[in-house]
Amino acid sequence: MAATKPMTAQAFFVLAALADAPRHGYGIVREVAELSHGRVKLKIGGLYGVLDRLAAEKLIEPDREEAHDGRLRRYYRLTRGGRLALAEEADLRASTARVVRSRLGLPGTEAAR
Amino acid sequence: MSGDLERRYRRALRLLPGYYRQQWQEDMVAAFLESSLTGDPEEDEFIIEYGRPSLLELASVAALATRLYLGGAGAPRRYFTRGQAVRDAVLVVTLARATQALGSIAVLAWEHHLFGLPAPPAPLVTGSWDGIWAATWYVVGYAWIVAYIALVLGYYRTAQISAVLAIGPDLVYLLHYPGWWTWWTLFDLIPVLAMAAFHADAPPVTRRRWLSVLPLSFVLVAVSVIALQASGDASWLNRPGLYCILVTIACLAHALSARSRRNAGSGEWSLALILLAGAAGSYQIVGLVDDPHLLTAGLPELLVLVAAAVADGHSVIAAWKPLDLRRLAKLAALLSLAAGVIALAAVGRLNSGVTTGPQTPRPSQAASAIVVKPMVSEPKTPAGGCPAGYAAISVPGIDDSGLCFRQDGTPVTFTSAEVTWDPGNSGYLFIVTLPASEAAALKAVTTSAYDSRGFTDITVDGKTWELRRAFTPLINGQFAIQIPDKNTALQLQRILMPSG
Repeated sequence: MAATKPMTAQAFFVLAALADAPRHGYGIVREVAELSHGRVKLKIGGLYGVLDRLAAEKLIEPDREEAHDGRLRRYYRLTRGGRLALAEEADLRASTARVVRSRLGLPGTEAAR
Repeated sequence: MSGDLERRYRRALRLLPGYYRQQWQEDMVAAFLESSLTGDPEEDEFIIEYGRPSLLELASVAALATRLYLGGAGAPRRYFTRGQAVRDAVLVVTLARATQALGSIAVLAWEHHLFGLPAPPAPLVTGSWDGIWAATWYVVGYAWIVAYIALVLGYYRTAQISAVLAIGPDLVYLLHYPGWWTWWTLFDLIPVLAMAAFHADAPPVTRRRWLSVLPLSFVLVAVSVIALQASGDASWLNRPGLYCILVTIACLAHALSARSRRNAGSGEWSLALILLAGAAGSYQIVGLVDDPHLLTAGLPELLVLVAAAVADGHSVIAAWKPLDLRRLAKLAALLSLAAGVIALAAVGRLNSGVTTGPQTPRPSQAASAIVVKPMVSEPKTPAGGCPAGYAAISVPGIDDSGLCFRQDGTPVTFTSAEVTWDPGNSGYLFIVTLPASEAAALKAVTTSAYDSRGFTDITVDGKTWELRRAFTPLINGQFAIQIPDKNTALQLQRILMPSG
């Protein structure tokens, strides 16, 4: 049921942060901030709300644990379903962006030529 | 390396359910500590030793806790059932408020003779639209209808915003008349806060069922209440009592239905009904303490409600293990104890001779003359004064209407009116009935005010008690004086009905 709901911006950015490599909690927070040019700043409660939901939907899974400064860092990675969901969402956003750019007549679009 | 920062964050994480902490706590702590550090060893040492989580961090944990405790799809059964019960209870309260708003619209339509309706009987003429403030209060109250429909259709944010809008004027009213705090807390504030149960993981509401309940509830409840009020014999029907009766019927119907199915389901509805019984019961209890004269009808209503809630609670035990028998027994014992305390307190107050109003709304001969004056108004000048020939009039419950008034026609004095005061009515309404021979004079004076798009001033003992916009001439020899609070109502009672 939840999979049919539209993907939230936070979930999209968290999945995107895991697209190229497994990351741990704080690593995801940093990567999301970078990917969104600082627009999405995840708080830890919010991040684990998203991670918990994505894990329940089997879009992400634990990858490994590593010791760091006397604590264990748990890394997460995308599942196959997570990759597919992320790719679908990225396509949807890209096609929406293309339409919007074209309607605005921005350079490099059909309308601008 | 563990300092104040970690201790404080761990303390905040205690808000989260145990099963969740077990899985995620260490990870969250590690991520939080890393996110708090700057890379400067000296500064980091200070932060770890003395730092505290930001309010935004704490708010994110609180929001997560709310979502987990009021579980949605994918949550453990116990949390899901609790979440569903709260969502059901919120839907029912929002439905009740939407029904009330529809009822208010129906009365308004009647007062204004829409659809060719004849003039409504006096008990229904409340003058509820007097002044911009009162009109705003009523119109904004209709936002409950939007809130309910939005909630059912899944537009949770719209529902929350509408509900917040709807309770705003009630809060302003509460600040003026603190006697309303129970009502505001139980049926305004808590339902709006509990709308947090409608989060992203909440399963969608069964639209067809809940949408069809609204017109049904309007016909069965709102129309019945209006009919009773119009008949003038609704003194026994106050709002807490009505809610107790409705929740009792729902509890009994649910208990019987669960028994006949021999399967109580998840216990979601039993828990929802216990929540609703708690709200209705608390409202009734406060009402009885406030006005012990309502005890005769109010206490049986309360006791039957407790019995029905406990009877239905058995189905929770049958189907839903996490709410154990001991907890339910404690709840029942607490409710019974509260009922007992109320009974004792109320009886004590009655015996000590506290007078809070007449026991039954029997008509009394007015002990003082009632003067009805046609008035016209002008806005105050920018300097706050009145135009020449106009004067500001002090009216109970209205600090400053922003208007100045001038008499516009001949006032009429009624010396042989019958007055009824129903203390059970939350509006503190005095119904004035004139002898048939004086109905024409009332019609003339109110028609004069109506024709000049003005106001009618109701003065008793030299003081204006109500100043209402003349929306319609009063043709049947009856009118109502609506008093905003109990103390003012008692003052008027002493003047008009000293023996009552």
